[in-house]
Amino acid sequence: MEEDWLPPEDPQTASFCAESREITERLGRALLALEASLQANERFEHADLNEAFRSLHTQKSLAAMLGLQTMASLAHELESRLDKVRLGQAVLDLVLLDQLFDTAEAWTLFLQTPWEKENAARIASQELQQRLLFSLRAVSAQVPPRRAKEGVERTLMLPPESLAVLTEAEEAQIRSAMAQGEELYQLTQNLDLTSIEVTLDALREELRGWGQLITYLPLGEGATPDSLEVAVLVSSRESPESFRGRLPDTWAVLDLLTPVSARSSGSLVGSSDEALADFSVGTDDARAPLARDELEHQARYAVRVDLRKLEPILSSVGELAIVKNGLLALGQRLQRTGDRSSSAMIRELHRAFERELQRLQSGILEVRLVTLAQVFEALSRSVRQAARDANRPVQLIVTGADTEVDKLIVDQIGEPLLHVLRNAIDHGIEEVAERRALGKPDEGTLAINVYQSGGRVMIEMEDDGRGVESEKVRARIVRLGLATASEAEALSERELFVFLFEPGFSTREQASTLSGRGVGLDVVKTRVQRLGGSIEIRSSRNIGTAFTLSLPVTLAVLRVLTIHVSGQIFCVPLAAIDELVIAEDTQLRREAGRMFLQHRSEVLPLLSLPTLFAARLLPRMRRTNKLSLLILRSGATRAAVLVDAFGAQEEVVVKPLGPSLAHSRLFSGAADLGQAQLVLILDVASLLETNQWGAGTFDTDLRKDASMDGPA
Amino acid sequence: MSVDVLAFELFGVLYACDSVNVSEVVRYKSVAVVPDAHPFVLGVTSVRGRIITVFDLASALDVVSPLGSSAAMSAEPMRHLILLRYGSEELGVPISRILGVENAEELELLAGVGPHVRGAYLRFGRTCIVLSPVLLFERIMAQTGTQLTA
Repeated sequence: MEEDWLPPEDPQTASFCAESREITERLGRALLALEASLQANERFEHADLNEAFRSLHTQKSLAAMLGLQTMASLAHELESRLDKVRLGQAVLDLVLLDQLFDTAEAWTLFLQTPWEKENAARIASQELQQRLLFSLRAVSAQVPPRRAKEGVERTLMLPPESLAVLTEAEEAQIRSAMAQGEELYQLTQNLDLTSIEVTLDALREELRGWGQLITYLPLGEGATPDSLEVAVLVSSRESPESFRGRLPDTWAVLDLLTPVSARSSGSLVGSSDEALADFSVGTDDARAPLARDELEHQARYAVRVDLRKLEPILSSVGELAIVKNGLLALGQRLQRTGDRSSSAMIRELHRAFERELQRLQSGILEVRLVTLAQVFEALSRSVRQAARDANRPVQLIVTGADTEVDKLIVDQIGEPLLHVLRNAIDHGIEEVAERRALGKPDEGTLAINVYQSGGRVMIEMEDDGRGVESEKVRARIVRLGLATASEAEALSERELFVFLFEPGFSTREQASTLSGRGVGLDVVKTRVQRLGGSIEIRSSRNIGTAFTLSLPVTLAVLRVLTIHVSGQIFCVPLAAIDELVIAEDTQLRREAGRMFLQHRSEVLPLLSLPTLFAARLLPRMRRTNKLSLLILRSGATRAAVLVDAFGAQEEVVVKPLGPSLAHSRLFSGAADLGQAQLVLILDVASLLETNQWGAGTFDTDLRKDASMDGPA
Repeated sequence: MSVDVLAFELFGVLYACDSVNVSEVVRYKSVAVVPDAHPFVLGVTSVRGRIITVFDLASALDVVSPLGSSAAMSAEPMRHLILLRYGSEELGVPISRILGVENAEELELLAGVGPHVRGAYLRFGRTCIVLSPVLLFERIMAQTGTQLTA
């Protein structure tokens, strides 16, 4: 069989990838839900099984259309297996689920760069798919299909005309429910023809967790010409009394269809002791139906937008903002010349312009926002695999996965998050015996909590493992010559953990002695910072470790404060500014060659931007002995930054610096303020890093600035 | 050998570059200085919303340039910005004066000046040096340690 590959120049390649990624994500979601049911020894939701079946079917068609033989064959084999499960002819067990999860993983790999024949991910995907195909075909050849046990008509009190329209899969679902000892109810309602599907979807969600909608059958014309009398078949483990109590009032229970003799305690659902990992994404039960509604809505009404198409629109918004400022300037000029009436009209126009422009900008930005759910679904699969590989039972609990963030962040944050989670599984969470000795539950917990705070999205990742051993970190700092023994001793725990993000701080040897923390964490930090974020770590011995990531909601628009430094305007993201301070020279202190600001009861390290920029921008003379200082924050680090003067607050459209300036560590982008004024945006996280542990830029003599004095 | 070039003047010296590499010429505005950039980088400017990195051509050619120094105020004013295509990026080079697009015939090869100079031709009795923008920028990138995809 020829290997799967797509020509890069084929216009269908991009749309295939986009659609296939969505299908793979849907498949992954359904698999996680199915697995959760199996591990809880509960009957799985047929809606989830159907979703997985549909995903495989669609992917098979797409792959066949583009000649991807391996992918199409694999999808076909798995679709056939799931069809048998739907028909009650086969059991859904964890072995089959593993194969399905591996398939989703293989497709995710393939979809990264299907046009690069020699790409390692594509090759790995091809090999994995072929292995899966081989094992599925081998099993299919050995196992004869199960036959249906008995006819539904013999056990159900349904009229023959109703029975005649049941599909084989629905019959199998009924048999499965009865084998589980569940009751079968027939509900009825007069439904509007235009909203039958919506009403049934609502019922399906209402029943989630305690019943399943199997099918609906028309009984006859309804009370009005536009309505229909519908009977709905529902299975539930609830007793008739309890069932009636939980059912929405709009539905009437017509019949209990299950004769007592038809119930059996047999199970059609497989279970396995192999279960090691238990995953739930968005576990807030009250929110689950809402999330599903939202997904349904997205599936029906969403359109795909290439982000590149939004860029010129956003750029135009930036240009319009410049026009808007021009309008304001014109109004002010008219005011000065005494033409108050025209000035008032212009100002009115300016306000209306501003209002609409803001709406337009918000609308564009909203299009860029997507939920983090797709990241966590992919992570769940990888974490599940990592837990199995490490032979440690782990449960992953994610809350707030529906938090929205810029699409570019969603695309790039998965890898750093996975790095942290794998680290936690490999080195943080202990072996079962060790956990028992510490009085911890056998199953380790990885908890991810996502929420929005101000203009930032916070992602907290916490494990209940062994934590970081501070003393070993301290010893490593000294051994690497990053600090003397006495300096290392004086470091607070927070200062100590900052070293874990240093490149090359951890090696394989440290991976075991330092609970694995620090392995590749420099890469994680770099990636997060590149997205305008910051990362922090907290840890308690034998209690666990927590990483907190703070990311901007959007990368496209930023609220900033402009500042003047050596005759040039720069801007600083407002989210990074704690406060603005006008200080006296007397508040400055010099210790060990470094400058500090005594600010209220706090002593903050101080960085002078005129000095830092002196190589390219001549510092200006200052006219007063007052110092304009920004108190900046990145994670838990606070520092005072000296500028010549504060400017104004602005909302700017962020533009990336070109590849030729990609190595700039001090600036994250540029913004056009209008009137040919381009300003650079300070990368606060990187800036504060230059202050770490006596970096040269900080040892400069502030008095030089003081003598040279402020802005023109 | 004959080639269509854009001829220009920079600090009294005549230069030209292959017109194929020129995307446009705009009026030169001031740049925002990037304090941590290589001295070859004068700064960044915006051309109709696009952020353009502006390079000091004279420094890159090892000619003493007043642009990047404190003598900038006394330097000959830069009137135009030539935007050159380099891979996925457009790079700007400020120049004193545009002389026009012309056909440079009978290029005379110059020895020992590096691959970024394709040769020279006589223009009204003055020597005009023809640059290869691609090779020039490769040299700049190598010196600034920047990786670009040409």
